[in-house]
Amino acid sequence: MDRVVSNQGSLHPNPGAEHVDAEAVPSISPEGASATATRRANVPLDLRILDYVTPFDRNLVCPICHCPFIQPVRLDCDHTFCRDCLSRAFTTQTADTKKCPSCRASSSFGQTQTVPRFIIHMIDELVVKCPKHDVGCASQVRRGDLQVHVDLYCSYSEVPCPAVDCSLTIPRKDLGERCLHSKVICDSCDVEMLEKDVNEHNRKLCTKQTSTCPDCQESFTKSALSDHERRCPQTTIRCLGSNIGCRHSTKRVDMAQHQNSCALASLLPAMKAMSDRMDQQGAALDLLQRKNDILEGSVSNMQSLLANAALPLADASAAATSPHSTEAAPFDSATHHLLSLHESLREELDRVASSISEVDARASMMIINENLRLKEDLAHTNAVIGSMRMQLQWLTSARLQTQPKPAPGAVTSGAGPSVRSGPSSPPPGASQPPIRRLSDSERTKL
Amino acid sequence: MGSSGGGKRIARELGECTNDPPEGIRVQLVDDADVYRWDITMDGPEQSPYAGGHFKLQLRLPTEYPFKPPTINFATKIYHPNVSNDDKGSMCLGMLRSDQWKPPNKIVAVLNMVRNILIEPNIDDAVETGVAEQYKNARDEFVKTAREWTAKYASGK
Ligand SMILES: [Zn+2]
Ligand SMILES: [Zn+2]
Ligand SMILES: [Zn+2]
Ligand SMILES: [Zn+2]
Ligand SMILES: [Zn+2]
Ligand SMILES: [Zn+2]
Ligand SMILES: [Zn+2]
Repeated sequence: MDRVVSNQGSLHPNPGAEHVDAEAVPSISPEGASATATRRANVPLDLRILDYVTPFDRNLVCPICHCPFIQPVRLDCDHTFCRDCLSRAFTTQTADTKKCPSCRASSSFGQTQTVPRFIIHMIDELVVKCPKHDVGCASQVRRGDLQVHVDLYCSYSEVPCPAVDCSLTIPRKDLGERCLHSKVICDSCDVEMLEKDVNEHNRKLCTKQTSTCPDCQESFTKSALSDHERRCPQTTIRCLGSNIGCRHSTKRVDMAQHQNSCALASLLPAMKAMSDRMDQQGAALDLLQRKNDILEGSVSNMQSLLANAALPLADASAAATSPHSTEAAPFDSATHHLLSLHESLREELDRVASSISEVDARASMMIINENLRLKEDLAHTNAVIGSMRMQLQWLTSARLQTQPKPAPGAVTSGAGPSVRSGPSSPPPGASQPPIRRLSDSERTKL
Repeated sequence: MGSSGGGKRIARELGECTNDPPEGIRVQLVDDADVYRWDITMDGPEQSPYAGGHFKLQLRLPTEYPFKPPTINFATKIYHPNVSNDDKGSMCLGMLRSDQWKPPNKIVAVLNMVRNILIEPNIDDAVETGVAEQYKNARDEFVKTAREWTAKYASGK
């Protein structure tokens, strides 16, 4: 049916296409299969052209490319961008100091920091369609797993041709023992194509070959047949409600009648909405779970920090307390542990406070006792001083009587006042008049 | 990343602008296969002398978009200090300047800015200094001429 024109593998129909393809979106073009033929399975993916299946939070979107972040980085001003978007924005800035594309805060040499890990997890978790969905791959994978899917599993990924002298690639599903990159021409419609595309051509695209529909026995051209197969009234199909339990299957013409009466089919929209909701809630739950993990991690961090800080405290008060801090070993939850730690710290504090007040009371008792003792001492000393003063008085007056007529010049000026201050309590037995006279005469002299 | 990434962002912005267009603004592609050229129809704002007019604008996105700003031209003649009075009808102010453009800016923001400029011209940044002078010193005459031009050039559908 198809005759081989040339067996050399060097026949890319359009050398320019290779260049175009490196950048083009592998979509709409009807010859998509051959246009992407130059791609290798290990070509890095452009994650920006992906179709996302899960709805994503606006906060996970890069303000430059409007896609969920791809390898996000953070600037000092706390704005986050994809690594590539940011470096591209920096290359369009001429000045030496690079500025944040959002707020123009200048960042030192365009230095970036990492973003929290959970953000990376959240964007890796988003489900995308395989970039080869337009040529037939139905896989939907987590974005983080996409590279692996494309490199290793996707049957539509282009892998190197097995022939050593051929540098072209072929979809993994068509991979065989030999090179399929030679040109062939369809006998029926004279269209030229690569041998690897022959099956596809015969199955769907040929405009001349006809085949009969197995269900209604009418004949169609190949290109019309695939269309017809989706509509043939005689094809046996299953009830819409089949995936929620309806076992009924009948010809397409009769199906409408069944579905009108089928409870399961009419339940389908509600079931679908419910399962969508459940999926959403499951996703939300996952998110919460991850956040919770992170929080628990930080709590245990704090807990170990706290334990370290509490240790010296416990040492300091160890003499006065029972070994409370050591028995706080295995608690089933972090919060519980924290609470009990708090409790034991509080008890310790109470103990310390009571011993402090005890010490305080003892100290003030001691002070009062000491005070009393000092007071007694003082009174004693006072009494001694009083008796000494009386003795002195007595001695002075006795001495004055033994020298009744002293030479006026012999009396020292200092002796006069000391004598005059004394007489408030004259010692018994001392006769006063001579003293008076003396001091009177002394005064008149002065 | 190739041009495909930028194209994806533009396609997304186009979707936003067509599904939920800013007030008084309609957007479509010049050529469905080329997301870099947009046709804009902007209604003259009610509170401006351009009320009742329908102005055609052309928005062109550079291949480096969003790293370089879009350019915007009035295809319909308009009497305005910030729009050049020639067959280009070009305007270059504010965020449209490449030194003031930020990649996170969106086309919607550009369109809204243009509309705001119709209501309140930016005199300090005028390209038509004569018109700016008139706007400042003889507002009545400015409004009169702007109304006349609107009736003459922008009244058609
Ligand atoms: Zn980005
Ligand atoms: Zn910033
Ligand atoms: Zn795939
Ligand atoms: Zn080959
Ligand atoms: Zn054919
Ligand atoms: Zn049929
Ligand atoms: Zn049924």
